Amino acid sequence: MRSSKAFRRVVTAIFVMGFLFGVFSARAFSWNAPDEANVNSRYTVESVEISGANAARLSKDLREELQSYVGQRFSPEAFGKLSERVRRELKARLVSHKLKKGSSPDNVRVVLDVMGHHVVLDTQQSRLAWYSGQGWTGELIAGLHNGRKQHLSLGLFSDADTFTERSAGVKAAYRFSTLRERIRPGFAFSTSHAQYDARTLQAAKPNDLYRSVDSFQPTVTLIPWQGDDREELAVEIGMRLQRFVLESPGPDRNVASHALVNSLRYRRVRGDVAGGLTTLRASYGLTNGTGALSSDYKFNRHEARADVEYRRAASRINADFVAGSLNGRAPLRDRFTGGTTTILRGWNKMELAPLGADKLTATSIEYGHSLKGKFEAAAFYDAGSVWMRGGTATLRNSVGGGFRTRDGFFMYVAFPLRDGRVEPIFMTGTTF
Amino acid sequence: MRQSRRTLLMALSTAPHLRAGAIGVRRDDGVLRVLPPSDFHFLEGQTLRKLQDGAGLVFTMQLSISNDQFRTIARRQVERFVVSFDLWEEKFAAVRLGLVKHQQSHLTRDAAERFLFDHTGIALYGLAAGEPHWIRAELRADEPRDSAGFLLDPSVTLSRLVEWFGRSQRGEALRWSIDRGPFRLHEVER
Repeated sequence: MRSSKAFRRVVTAIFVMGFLFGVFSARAFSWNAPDEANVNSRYTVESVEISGANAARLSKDLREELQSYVGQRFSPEAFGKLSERVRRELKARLVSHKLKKGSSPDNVRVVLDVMGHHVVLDTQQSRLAWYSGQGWTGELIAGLHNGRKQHLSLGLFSDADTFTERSAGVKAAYRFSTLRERIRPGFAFSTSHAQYDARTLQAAKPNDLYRSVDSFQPTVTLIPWQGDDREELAVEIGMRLQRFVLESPGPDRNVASHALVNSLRYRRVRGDVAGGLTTLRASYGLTNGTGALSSDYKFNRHEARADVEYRRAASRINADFVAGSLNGRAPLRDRFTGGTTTILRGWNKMELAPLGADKLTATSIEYGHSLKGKFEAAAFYDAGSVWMRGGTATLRNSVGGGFRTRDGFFMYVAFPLRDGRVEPIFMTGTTF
Repeated sequence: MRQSRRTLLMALSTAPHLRAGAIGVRRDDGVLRVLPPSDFHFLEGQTLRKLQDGAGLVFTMQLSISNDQFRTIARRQVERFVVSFDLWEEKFAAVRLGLVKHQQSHLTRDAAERFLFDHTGIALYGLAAGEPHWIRAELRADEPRDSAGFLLDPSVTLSRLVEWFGRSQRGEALRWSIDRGPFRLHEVER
């Protein structure tokens, strides 16, 4: 046993040393030519231009950084790294920098030549989360996109966070962009099985619960306005064709919840992190279950969201607001929930509304301060209510805090504020 | 001096084409150097276009000597160079990298190519002068890439790893290889 432990330690040590050697030798033995080895490094950059793509698609930061090299000596290494950043932002297949003679001797023009769209496989929509009392949520989504032109995604999920019930299945989506990305048609498909908490089973009527659901949602997103720097107004119109198989025994177990889905979204980004970066997002969505589409459920679901994030130096403040209202008879999946990893954190959604709710109002304020590396310490206060039409709205509050990183990892402990009892709720998760 | 075999191999279809010509070897102060065929050019086609666009290309030259037709290698020497093209003067510059740098500018294309061969040599010390030997010169041009920067980037994510491994087609190398032999070291001219 002891020798086996020692062997594992030796193997681990060799692995760590090998990794460190690889990293340091990669730094020492770069394939890139040193700046001074390129005879053109003695020339002064007269201008920096983008060829093969619209420079306005680059972020303001990167555009400013490119222009900051004007008047400086040409650095092949710096422009090699800038080319890579441009390639990533434009999702191009290749970006290479080329030199042209400037207007006078000793001056050169740098042209960043953008070529083709890079087909990229990503997992950016994947996530893993755990919420005590409600269990795991996992989504593994593989996306294949060709620049901003086309996007195809396919994945598996088991989600105990978004809806009242746990929903597990597969989903796929496709969309493409045309007319300079102003029109984006696409569709989403999913098929899943439902699993219910005992409190939901106890509260439900026979036809409330369904065993499985198939959904197909063709939509078109129109971009009537785009600002010069990550500002966008988007209108999405489409329909959702949804079919449930009910849990209840009986001959008529298949029901449809077809609906028109429309939304309006706005995004605005201003400033930079050094002087203060403000990101504003707002959206309004209307889901209209209508008999015109032969739906068995007839309802109107309104949902409005707004969030503002302000970053400056090491500090971050987020303020989120969401409100929703449901009129008519809607399936469980369209009802509102609180007590998730984003709304009324710390509360258990089965305690708030085991069958979901018709009304929702919630807000959240979170402050974060960057620590060493990419870690951030955060504290939040959530407040809100979910309730049924005709019922009484009870205000719920919670506070909490923890750690998170810029790339999606978080580990929080939250305390629902109630009379006389302190019951901490742990939640953690990450995106890939 | 007898030359029984000469092989020119193109590793990639994108590499410049080579034409027939005589490969030579010469002794230079205890070092064996290769003289490329007079019509052998590697600064042409795609490579030349990249240089004319202002790129500095890294060339790696390896000389290998064998006494059994490359079943085993008796000795080898590797040198790395950077070649660039002066945009305004329209002349080449070459630098041998390493602890002791050698560099030269205002070179013609032929002179820049010759610089690489002139600054790569195999020490003759310990090699049997009367035995038959074979020599191989291999040249490889690498496009700049950001491998070190990627590994040291703190924001490496699964998505970026997938993307990085998926773009192996970029940064392809151009390769040339020239063989000569058998010859005896005492027959080699200075």
